[in-house]
Amino acid sequence: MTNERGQIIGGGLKDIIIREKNGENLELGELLIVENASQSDERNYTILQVKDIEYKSQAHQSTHELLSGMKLEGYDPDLEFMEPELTNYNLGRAKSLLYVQEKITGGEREYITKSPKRLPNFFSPIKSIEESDLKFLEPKNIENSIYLGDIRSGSTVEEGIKVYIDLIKSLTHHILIPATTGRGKSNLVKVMLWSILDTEGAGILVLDPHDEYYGDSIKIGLRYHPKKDEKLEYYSPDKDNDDAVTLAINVKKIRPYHFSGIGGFSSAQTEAIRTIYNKYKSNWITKIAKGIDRDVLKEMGVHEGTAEVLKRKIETKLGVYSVDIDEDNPAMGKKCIFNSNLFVGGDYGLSTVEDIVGALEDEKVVIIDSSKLSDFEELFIGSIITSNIFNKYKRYNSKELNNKPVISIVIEEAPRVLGQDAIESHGGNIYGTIAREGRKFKIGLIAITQLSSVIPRAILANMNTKIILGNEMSPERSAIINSASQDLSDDERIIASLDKGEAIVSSVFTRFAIPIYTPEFKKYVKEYLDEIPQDKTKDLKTMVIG
Amino acid sequence: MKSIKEIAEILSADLSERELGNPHFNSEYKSCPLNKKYFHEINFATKDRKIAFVDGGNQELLPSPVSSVQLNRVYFSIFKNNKRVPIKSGIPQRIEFLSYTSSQLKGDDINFETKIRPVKDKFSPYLPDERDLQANARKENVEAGTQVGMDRMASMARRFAEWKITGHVIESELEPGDIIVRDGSLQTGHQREYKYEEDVFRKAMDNDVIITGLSKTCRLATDTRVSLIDSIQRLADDTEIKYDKWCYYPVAWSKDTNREHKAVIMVVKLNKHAHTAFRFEIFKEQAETMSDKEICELVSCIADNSKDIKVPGYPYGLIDADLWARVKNEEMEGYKAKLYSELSRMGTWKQVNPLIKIVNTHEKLDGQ
Repeated sequence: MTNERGQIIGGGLKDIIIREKNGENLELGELLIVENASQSDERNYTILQVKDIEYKSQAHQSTHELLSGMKLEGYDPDLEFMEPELTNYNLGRAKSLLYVQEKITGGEREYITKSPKRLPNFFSPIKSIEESDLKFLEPKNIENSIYLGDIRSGSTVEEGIKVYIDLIKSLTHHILIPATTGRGKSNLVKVMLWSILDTEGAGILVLDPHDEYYGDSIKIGLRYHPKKDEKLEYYSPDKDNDDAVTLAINVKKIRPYHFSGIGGFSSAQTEAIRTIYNKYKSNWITKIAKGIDRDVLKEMGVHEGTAEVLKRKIETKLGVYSVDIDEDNPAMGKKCIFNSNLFVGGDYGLSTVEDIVGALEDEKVVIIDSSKLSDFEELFIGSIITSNIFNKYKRYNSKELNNKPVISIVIEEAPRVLGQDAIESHGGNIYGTIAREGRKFKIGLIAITQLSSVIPRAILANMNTKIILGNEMSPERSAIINSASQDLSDDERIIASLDKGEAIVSSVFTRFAIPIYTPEFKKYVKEYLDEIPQDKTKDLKTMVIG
Repeated sequence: MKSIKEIAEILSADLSERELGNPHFNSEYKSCPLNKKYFHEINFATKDRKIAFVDGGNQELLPSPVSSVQLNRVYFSIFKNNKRVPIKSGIPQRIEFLSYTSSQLKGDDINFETKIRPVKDKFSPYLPDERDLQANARKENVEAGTQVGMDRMASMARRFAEWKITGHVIESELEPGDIIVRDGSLQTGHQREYKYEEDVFRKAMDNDVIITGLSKTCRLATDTRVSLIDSIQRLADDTEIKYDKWCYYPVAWSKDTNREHKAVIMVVKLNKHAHTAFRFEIFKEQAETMSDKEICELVSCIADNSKDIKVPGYPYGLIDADLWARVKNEEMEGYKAKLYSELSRMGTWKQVNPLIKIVNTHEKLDGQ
């Protein structure tokens, strides 16, 4: 066999021990192939992945130490390891990932993939994986899928083997992207969104706290996509941003439940808000801002002190407060002042939320630049839009829903809304609701986080696709591993050693946890745009689907 | 413990009082008094030659007072410039065979006979003739009925096979000037071994391949009953021999009348880090034609192969040969199980089992 990297010399299914051929340098996470005995018209092979590598020697450790000491201390040892390649070597520990049967029937190549339940032959040679070994991943249907990256074997990227994941299934079943800073989260999301712009059947709401997805004249972003005009919308609260539609939401569109799990209101305050809303409907915020008459409060059963706190909170959170119409004549009444561009009154911004929801229903990617918003404002805007979508989709009957696109919300620093505290406070928030129930209504989350460990296990388990990037923090790796769709119990070291752009895709829709490398967005876009004149069809070679 | 201390004191006093003396051999050898002039420095070899290393091993599968079933193994490997040389002729690098040695009483004499069967048919050409594996206890000078006697008789087949393989290697794998290093002495251990050894010596002469033997252990002593190896090492120290590696020769020459041993005996220190020197022999007829320089050159080739850190100063080829020739205890279990099961199937087990128990009681007690 050519390309021989080593030989199986022991272990079990989870821990196959391989003696590395001298100089072959197996890598952590590398994919390997071992051929099984098969009939002439059939090929059976097992895909292995290297989980650990260690030094081994036929000589005692004390002998190594002695030789090393002699060399280090300047003695002339006149000693060496004779046949060092036989004496000192590396042992790799690998796990069986997948058993593949390849058969040619009537000229057609057929593949059956199974979880490995038997061991490859003892002493079988192993070789590096090649493109031909992954042919079984070739999709029958390449429409509407999200490109994630190229297959990676250790640190070697197999650029010919592209990994896609089913658009509809993966988005409705939620996607979690856990990683520490600098491991390529934003790059991955940009690449995913770029490929989604080529698909049909999904609307994506992106809350972009770093204003990095849309791009500008210098920074490459989604605005360079050829379908930008028909598929992309960009909102910003910054009036001076000429590329963006100004994001302004009329306070009349705000409902008490939009604050759920986000606003930081106590139970008594939440109760008071509901009561006030019931009385004043869409004017409830301006009413609080102007101050409600003591007698009316009493009539509603709202404590005067509670109303005062609400007034203060409306001012600090939404920037809405009131002043006397005539300072010299307070009896004239009060008028509302809207301190921010985001939450406005009058007739302005009345249709913003509906416009965004409409765009999502039109299968667009809507980017909201939240870089200038406070943490609260960002989550609150998301909550308003998301609640609107959720309630709308919930009202559709099954036939109507069937014709609607799947909608997914990209949320950064997900624990802010999916963390234990956020989920448990005052009945939770809309994001938690979507995490639990969104699938039924074709709404999903793309949750990005550095801290998976603070997200409840039930929510993590609901995130059926995890694109795991590098993470140095052991508790975070454990949280991810414990909720992954595949058994990643011995992947700790692999996850810890993932370099920028390297990831593992663990999904209920993949047969095994697939190692990928996501290309640099800038390079990816350049190659994409360079290809357009020749062939508008994408190089969709491989899709991993359920 | 008082007794240990006292014994240590006696041993220490005894050794320190003894003079080095001179090599002591029987009348079949011409020994040479210790002399610092016999130290020759070993430098790097100047010639590239192949060195073949041969070793064998055997272990008892089924013991009894009157018979012994053994698993035998013989292995060789070839190195040149410390690189392993692939075998070109198709000789199996390792042969295995089973042997059954039994004793019969004939008048007052006890005769031994050994039957051999190769583990694979392709090993047959490298096995000795069964007709040669017959011996008389008196002529072999063994105490029949003792375990030592049985072990000695049972080792005949393995020793003869070692010679057979050595002959094949000379004819098929080596070229003029190349060297064979056998594990142990060139002395024959059995009456009929002479025939096999002679055949090998003839082939060596015909092909100009030099036959040598290197012994891991040496029980030779001086006439003051000091270990020969120790006395030569001490002589090196006392006379301040500065060589890192040396060859001390001659220690002794076997006389022409000595049919069992045809060698010049020497002692070699093959690496400066060697913790001991070793007894080394060259086939006498070849050594007689070699100059001091040629002998040093030959030993240099072996010294170049003796740099392995695992056993400094011992040829790596013999470490390799020992590894592959040795029959390890854990390997025995599979063979034992198959043999016992076969005996059981044939209905012989009930006769054999009591015999095994007679011999095995020691082992059982040791295991308590």
